[in-house]
Amino acid sequence: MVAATENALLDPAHLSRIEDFSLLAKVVVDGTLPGIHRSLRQGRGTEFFQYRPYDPGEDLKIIDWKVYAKREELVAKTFQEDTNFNLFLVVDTSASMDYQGVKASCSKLHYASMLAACFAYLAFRQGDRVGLFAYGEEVQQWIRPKSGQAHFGRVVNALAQLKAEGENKHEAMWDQMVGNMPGRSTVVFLSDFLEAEDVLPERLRFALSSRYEALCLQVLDREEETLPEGDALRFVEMEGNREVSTSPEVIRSEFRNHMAAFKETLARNFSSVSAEFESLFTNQDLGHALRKFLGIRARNIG
Amino acid sequence: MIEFGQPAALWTGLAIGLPILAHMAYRRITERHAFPSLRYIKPSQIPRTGRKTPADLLLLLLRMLIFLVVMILLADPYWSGPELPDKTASGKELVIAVDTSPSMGGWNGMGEAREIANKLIQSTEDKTSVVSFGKKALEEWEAGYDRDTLLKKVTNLNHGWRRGDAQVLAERAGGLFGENSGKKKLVVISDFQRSDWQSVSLNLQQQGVEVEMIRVGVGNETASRFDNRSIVESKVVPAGPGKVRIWTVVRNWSEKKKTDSLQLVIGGEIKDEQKITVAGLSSKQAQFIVPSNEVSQAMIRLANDDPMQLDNQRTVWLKAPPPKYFGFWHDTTSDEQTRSEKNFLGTAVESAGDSGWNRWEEKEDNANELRMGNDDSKLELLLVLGLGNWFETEGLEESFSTFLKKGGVAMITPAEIFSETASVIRNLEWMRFSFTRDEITFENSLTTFAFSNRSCLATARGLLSEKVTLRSPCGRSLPTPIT
Repeated sequence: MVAATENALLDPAHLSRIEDFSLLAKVVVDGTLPGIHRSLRQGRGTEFFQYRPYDPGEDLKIIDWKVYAKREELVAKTFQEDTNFNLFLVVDTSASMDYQGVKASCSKLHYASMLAACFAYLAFRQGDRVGLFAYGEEVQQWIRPKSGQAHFGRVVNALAQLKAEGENKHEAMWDQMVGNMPGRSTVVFLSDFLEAEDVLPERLRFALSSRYEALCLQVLDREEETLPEGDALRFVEMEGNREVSTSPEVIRSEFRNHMAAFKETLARNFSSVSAEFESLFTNQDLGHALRKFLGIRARNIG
Repeated sequence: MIEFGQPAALWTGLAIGLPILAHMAYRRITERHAFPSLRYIKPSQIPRTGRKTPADLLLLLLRMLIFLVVMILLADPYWSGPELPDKTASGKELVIAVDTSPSMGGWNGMGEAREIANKLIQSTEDKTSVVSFGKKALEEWEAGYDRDTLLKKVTNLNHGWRRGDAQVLAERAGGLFGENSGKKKLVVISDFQRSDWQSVSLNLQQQGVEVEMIRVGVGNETASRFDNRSIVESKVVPAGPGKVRIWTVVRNWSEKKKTDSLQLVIGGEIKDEQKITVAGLSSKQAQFIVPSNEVSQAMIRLANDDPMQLDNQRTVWLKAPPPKYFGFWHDTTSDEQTRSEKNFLGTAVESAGDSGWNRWEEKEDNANELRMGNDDSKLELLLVLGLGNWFETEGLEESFSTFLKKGGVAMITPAEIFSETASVIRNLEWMRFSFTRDEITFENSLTTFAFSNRSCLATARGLLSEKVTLRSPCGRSLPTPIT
């Protein structure tokens, strides 16, 4: 029952109907990972956490005197301790991310945005700083990592405004961004990584450093692995103007082999730079990606 | 049986394989599909769809049908008649040639021709064919048609309305017979109108063809016009202000009394109709009153079924014709006598008309134009007053001659001194004449001459003779017109 409920909450078919990414993130995180946000450190920070009885001998500054004035009771305010953890979300918004197969409930970009919103919410609940870098042919969003609810709202709003357009310029964009990355960050890169198995791993060499973690989540549509149905189709490239007429029936087997080999190469190349890689499909529930992210997070915090 | 004029075109039927091949080779039209990456999308042959919808089969059948129709049309199909016996077989052949020119419509020529042709067809044992000529073409009914068919075709023969040309028959006659036929005979049934036959040479003896000519359409009037009624005359006369009377005479050529319908047709519509009963071999008048200012032409038609229809209608003009013009020539030195004579004669000529249908109008300009040498001057009557030396001096003889040659009528009055007139006439050699003076006493100082029929021995020669009238200025009786 719980699993069914959890699956429903993580099912992109349902989640894609929630337009408010902030709400979506809360639904997913609070609904499916209830214990996560409780694992917080209490201490000095800017985000109020809770009241507790005042222990004599503690710093008087932590007493909430307004409460005392009302109730003549000494209570201490505790704050969520800010972590030193930076979550840097990098989202590919090139035209290929707009693909949505016949049976898919959302486009790849929408799926990636939902995941990114969930990650952002998780980070916010845990007191991490969250930043966003979204690019395609040009930079669409660049938000430096910060913490707090207001900033979280800004990030999810930015995610909601992303549009898939243009040809990807991985090299130029990453060159622009890497130099401005905050220290000690976890970079979550959401993209389809098409035709970039050689280019991108090079740009993620920073992951070799102990200060950085990189999680590369490949977002694909099922049809990108199995090809659309049909006897004869004229395929038109989304990031170019090439066209190829072919019969998917005829080339399907060979295409799958090529895609599998491509993913293997991608994983291997990311692995060589210590970046974690996971391939996702848009009809998969978000839980797997979330668990993957949490695992990385836990390693960093721990 | 259907046959083809261009049988070679049937080979185009092989093209029917094209739609069949297209049907077999049909490949689905590809649908456009946007895809993130074409890196691993390789072109491949679009498979022939194995599934054919009913629409595809119907389309195939339609294409095949279109090809078949085009093939048949290119082959020029036609329906051939019953097979004819071998034209080259030996035996006697008779060709009956019937004239169908317009003249055969008169004097029952066509009726006689049919009768004679029918008798020939029924009586002969030879292979018989019938041709008709006279409409610039030769219509043939070849030997081999059964007798009844030939008889029926002859019965339906009728004359045409275009000028006949028997030369067509003359040129084609030899080819009407089979090559190996034994005895060949051509019977020509015609009225042999000179206009149709005058330049035709029908010499077929060299080709071994016997020719017999049977003339029709020349019987006596009564016999030929049996049962015929005709409009023999039709005139239009004034009938009061804005009206005219169409006066018609209908003759009944048969011996029995006949009643027909006489129609007034204007603008293709029957405007009036009346029954007219005419006793045998007699005539009767009929009239129609018509407003003259509304229409200009009408047709009087005798509606009946008599065998000769050509004389059953007449077309008449309802509006008054333009007036006829007359003018004067005289010596330019106008004296009182000339003016008086001019006034008198001008009044006389104008009053000769009826101020309606037949009108005379003096046109001095036209007379002067003619005097200046304009041969196209519209003048019907020229009055030359006091013909004298001035006529020769001005050199008017040529204009005068041309005027008369074109059908103009001239009236000459002698000059005061008649010898001048006589001298001019003699010099110009218009006529030879002599005259004797009458017993009438000279009435006044003017010399006048009276002519009487008995005494005038005028004769004329040349083209001018019938156009010249000599009249005394005092209005005495004229000599008989000179012819």
